Amino acid sequence: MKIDEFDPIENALRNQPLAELPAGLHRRVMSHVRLTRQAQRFQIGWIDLAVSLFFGLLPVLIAFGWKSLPREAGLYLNYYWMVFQSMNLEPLVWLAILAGLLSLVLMFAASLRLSLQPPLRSE
Amino acid sequence: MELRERDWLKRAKNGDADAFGMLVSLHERYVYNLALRTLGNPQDAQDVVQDGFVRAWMALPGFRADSEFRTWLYRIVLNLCLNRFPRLRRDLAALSDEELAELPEPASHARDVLSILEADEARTSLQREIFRLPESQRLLVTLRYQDELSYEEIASLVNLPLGTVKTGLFRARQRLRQALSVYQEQI
Repeated sequence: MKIDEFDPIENALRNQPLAELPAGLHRRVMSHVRLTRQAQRFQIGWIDLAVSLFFGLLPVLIAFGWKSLPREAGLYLNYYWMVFQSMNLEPLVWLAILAGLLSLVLMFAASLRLSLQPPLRSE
Repeated sequence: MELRERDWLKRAKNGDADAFGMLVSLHERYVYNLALRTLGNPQDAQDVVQDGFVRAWMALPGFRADSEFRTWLYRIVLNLCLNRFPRLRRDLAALSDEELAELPEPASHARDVLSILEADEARTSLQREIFRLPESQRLLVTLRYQDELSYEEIASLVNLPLGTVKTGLFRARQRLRQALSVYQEQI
């Protein structure tokens, strides 16, 4: 855009005075900001509820699924379980359990780190 | 963005409320004026500014450092204004591209007519006229002249095609030019 400093329209538009900030607005904004931050740190989101609900209901779902299996399927599973036991895969099973435990510990440590964040410097 | 502002932004992103306070001090007057000129009511403008800064603070961890903080902040405040004033969104959308071609190039002979004294009076009168512009045009004028944003930045901010932004600004200037003609006839 070509700027014509002598054009009264451009001049008026560019030099329109700014309104003064109302007294106390900055203080009000900052007090809300600080309150919001504190509230935010202890907030529980929908994802937290969904994840805990899922894991809480998992044993029930497994038990229900197991009970609702047809008799033939139960027999098949029993058969494959026996085959699995005969394969002598014990070290592999222990390794899987260990890996599972390790990831649980890591997740716990990460959640602990998030919840125990140092307080804000301004607070 | 200044080095100082960049540093405040970095600290504020890490949860430093004092650094965010410095960013608020830097931008609050412009943000307030943007809200005031868009909404036309000081109380509404204060509410929007307060809400806007709180939202910005909450969303700050997700702010990408490569974009301009000011534009990002304006976007938040502008969306709040548009939510309060839904008609403005429709008015902005109604500014069409096609009509630009029909508008004549404005004459800039006014400067030859006005003496320095008259120019001062005319400026005051024009500034009153700016407040009488339709809200959509007043918003574009504020973003262009008060906040010195480029056409592209404004288009991205108000989510309108570039041509529509240019049309809106053209019409605003034309309207002011007409008001100036009326003023000149009166004196």
